[in-house]
Amino acid sequence: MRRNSLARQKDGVGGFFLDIPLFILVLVVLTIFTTSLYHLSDSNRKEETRMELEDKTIGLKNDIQDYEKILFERENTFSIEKLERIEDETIEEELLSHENYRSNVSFQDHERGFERSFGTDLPEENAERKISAYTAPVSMICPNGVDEIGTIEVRVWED
Amino acid sequence: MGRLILNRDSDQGVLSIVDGMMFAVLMVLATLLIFQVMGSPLTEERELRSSEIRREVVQDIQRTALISTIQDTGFINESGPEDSNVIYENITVEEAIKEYHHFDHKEDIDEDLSYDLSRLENDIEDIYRKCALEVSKYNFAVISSYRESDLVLSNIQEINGEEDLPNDRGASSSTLMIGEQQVDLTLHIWR
Repeated sequence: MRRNSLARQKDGVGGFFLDIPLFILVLVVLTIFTTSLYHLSDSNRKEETRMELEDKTIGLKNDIQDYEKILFERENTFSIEKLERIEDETIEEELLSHENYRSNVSFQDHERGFERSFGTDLPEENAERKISAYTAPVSMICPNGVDEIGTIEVRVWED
Repeated sequence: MGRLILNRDSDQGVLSIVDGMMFAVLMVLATLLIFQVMGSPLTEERELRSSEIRREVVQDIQRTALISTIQDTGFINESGPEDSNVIYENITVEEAIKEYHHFDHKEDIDEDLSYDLSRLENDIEDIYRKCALEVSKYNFAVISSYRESDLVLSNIQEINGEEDLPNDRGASSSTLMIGEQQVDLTLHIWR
């Protein structure tokens, strides 16, 4: 009986040390598995946010292209005169006020050196924010009636 | 007796490691499966979204280019004994493309007629260059046809037709009318 009991004790001590590499292996594998799942769900969440921001950006761009208060007589053609006259608050209240999002819209006509921006100031460059941006050429009518190719840039980011 | 017990322990250890490695392999396979199942729909959606955005961009470029005005352009009529300049002022790109095809077609069907349409061609290309390349940062090709008359404009010189275009591109097609005949106009963009 005594001999059997001692043998069992040897078994126990030997078994414990032999299982250490196994524990380490299992631990490493579980850590890798958990980390991978975390990264996958994190990248999915980021991707979904990015797509949501892109949707908002395109939607906002389309709203602006149909916004009569700054358009010339025809579609997709902006009047520089109207852009100069319109109050920031009018556009911000009617187009740029969203819950959870901030946005900025800027118009540029490089030929005339015209630039007008509406909405929230852009976050600082080092701020960790995902910004969705869309740039498109637009036709802009100068006060003298000449039309030029300008740029509209729409940026949307999470609040 | 003691030696026998040690050997058995040693075997058990080896078996445990084999078990562990099997477990590791299974976990890696499970991870790959989860990545495949969860990742591929997102990748597909991402690709779909990119092509949707590019379609939006190409439509914006086409719409803006066609309504843009060329303030001063024209062509040289080389048909008579002396060359004469035909001048257009404040003509839209849409009208300029129609004029190009109209005179190019006339030249094709009547051997006595000869026009140098390069100025008109260059001025149309300049507008597309501004809209596509300078503002939107896309390479572009405009391919337009009316009867036997073809017009191919691109910022890349090697492009002489649709067969030279890359597969991964966005396109917007429009139909213009010269009388009752249609002009098929397509703008292609890519990066």
